[in-house]
Amino acid sequence: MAVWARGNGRGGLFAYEYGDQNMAGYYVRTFDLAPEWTQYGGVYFPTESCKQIRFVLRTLPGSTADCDDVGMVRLGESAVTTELAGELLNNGGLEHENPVRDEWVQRLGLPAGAEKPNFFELNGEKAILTMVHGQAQAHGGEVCARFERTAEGGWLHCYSPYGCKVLPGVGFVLKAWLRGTGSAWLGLYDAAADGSPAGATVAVDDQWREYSVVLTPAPSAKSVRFAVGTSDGVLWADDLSLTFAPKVAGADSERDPDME
Amino acid sequence: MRAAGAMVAVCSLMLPAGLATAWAADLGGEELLGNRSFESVAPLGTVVYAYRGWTVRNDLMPGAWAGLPSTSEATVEMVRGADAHSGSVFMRIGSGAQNPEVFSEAFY
Repeated sequence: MAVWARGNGRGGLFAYEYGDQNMAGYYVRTFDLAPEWTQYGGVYFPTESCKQIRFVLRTLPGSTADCDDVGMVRLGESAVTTELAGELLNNGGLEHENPVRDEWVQRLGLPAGAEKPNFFELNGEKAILTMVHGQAQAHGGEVCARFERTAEGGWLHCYSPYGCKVLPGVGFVLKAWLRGTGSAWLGLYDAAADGSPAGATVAVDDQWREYSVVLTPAPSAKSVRFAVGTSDGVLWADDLSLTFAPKVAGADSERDPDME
Repeated sequence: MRAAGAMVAVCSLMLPAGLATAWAADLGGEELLGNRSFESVAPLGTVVYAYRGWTVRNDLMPGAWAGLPSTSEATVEMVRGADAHSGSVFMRIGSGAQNPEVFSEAFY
């Protein structure tokens, strides 16, 4: 799906999806509008229950968009390349209003053995996520996320609300700019189940650094969500990115079995 | 939590920007949408809420959900001008404080 657009504020490509008994809507791509004509596009992966879709243009509050030359092409999975799909996250820079509520979802976890994790808690007893405004704090733009553990035994992750389709044999590249006092976790959740995520723990320090991991989802996963979080200390995160890994044989060879 | 991946700090991996230029023929697919350039619309230069091939919806605001009269600030306008991206008509969507959308009438 694509559109040529210009303007100010923020626009989006969106899809309404219709199944036999339900309908749902999903962002395909949100974007900051440039003043000159620019093509914005993204790949939409219908869910398994989808029978039909509608192409949708949206503008977010406070925006004006001139739109022309829209387009939608049906592609087979084999035609979806890393280059074509591009960036899979919306609002990876965390710049936009209500990023946690609208474009990201927060998950506050309890230690192993706890009866039930708390989902969608904005502030929990053991961990706090705040969106911090100010260029001096952020890596890029003016907003970044600050995770803080306030007691032992829990963890805090923030993850993208929309699942990204898993293509057979294709991994994902996750990138994030991070700083903090302990460790960070970058990973993928199976969007359809509360199973064990795939991810990597990295040590961070007080300097913004870009971290990148290449992950292959579990074979049973049909769609995944990008997640970032921490189980100790304070973590700052900004400019997150998720893309398909190039279709290169042996992409898993970079795995380090000793990494915990 | 057990990790299952690798980390490369300060990775320099850069991926292409995606759909920068490629489209239908380049992608090897068939274009599905009609009236893609918005040339077949009327009236022009006025705020319109339905026109051939596309539908405007702005019922996402709480007032509409509650069944109250619309107080939308959003506008959708078909503009004729030489500065269209192609042809002579483009669509201007103004949000105001709303979250308007325009969608294809057809299902695909």
